[in-house]
Amino acid sequence: MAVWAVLVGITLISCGSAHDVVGGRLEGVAVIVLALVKVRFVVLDFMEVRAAPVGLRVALEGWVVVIGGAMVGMLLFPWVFS
Amino acid sequence: MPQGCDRRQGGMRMRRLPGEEGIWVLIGGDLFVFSLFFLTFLYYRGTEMAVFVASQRGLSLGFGLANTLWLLTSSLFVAIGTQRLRRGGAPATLLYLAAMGCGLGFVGDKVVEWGEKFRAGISVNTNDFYMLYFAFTGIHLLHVLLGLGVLSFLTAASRKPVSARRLMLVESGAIFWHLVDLLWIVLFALFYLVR
Repeated sequence: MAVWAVLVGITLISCGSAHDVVGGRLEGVAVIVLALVKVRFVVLDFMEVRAAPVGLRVALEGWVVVIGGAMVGMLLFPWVFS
Repeated sequence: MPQGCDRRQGGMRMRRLPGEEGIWVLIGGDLFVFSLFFLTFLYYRGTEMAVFVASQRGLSLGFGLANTLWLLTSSLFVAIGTQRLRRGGAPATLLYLAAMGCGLGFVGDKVVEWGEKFRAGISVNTNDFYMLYFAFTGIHLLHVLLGLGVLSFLTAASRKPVSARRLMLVESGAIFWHLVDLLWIVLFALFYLVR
């Protein structure tokens, strides 16, 4: 239940204040980072990977970092990829 | 199945793989495909920024937010239900039914949201933003519909005590439903929130 409350809280923050706190590209980066924080909670706590074999946890957390890095990179430097 | 130990707080805790091994292969494949979707969206967004920003304003944040809350809540019900089933005794059927209700809420929202778009003359042919919007959220919607079938199995399975083998299948189904939730979290951020 605590994890669900955190996930809903992050969702509401993403929808509400992200646009007011930061501007421009950093706003998009903040939204993506918050989404990936939520994804990590879903993986670790709902999918129960927190107590899974280390290899699975490393693979999934590694995916979060890699896809997060790629998305943030494409947001910050879109001209590099176009 | 126990696959190792973790020393924490002075004790030994067995690490265990939830669900079948095969479900993790499926999860890995789906994450790979959707990763390509996410990067494809950002690539097109980078090349057609003005079109994407203008089109995004046409989306209703309320639908996206409601759908996120439907799936987060359904994931909570499934997680608690599966924990209860594992412990035995405590009923999980109502929780799985509630999760299905949330999933149906998602589908209903999506039907209304897409209906509004179609009535406004917006379709997959409107521009690249809407092409990706209908394609990626449509493929995700197929996952939701498949997931509702999986939740039906979980509901039926939870009506009586489950064997270890059946519990593995239930856990696998639950993991798939959490994947549906996870994928939507990123799609919601990309299509509705990134300005």
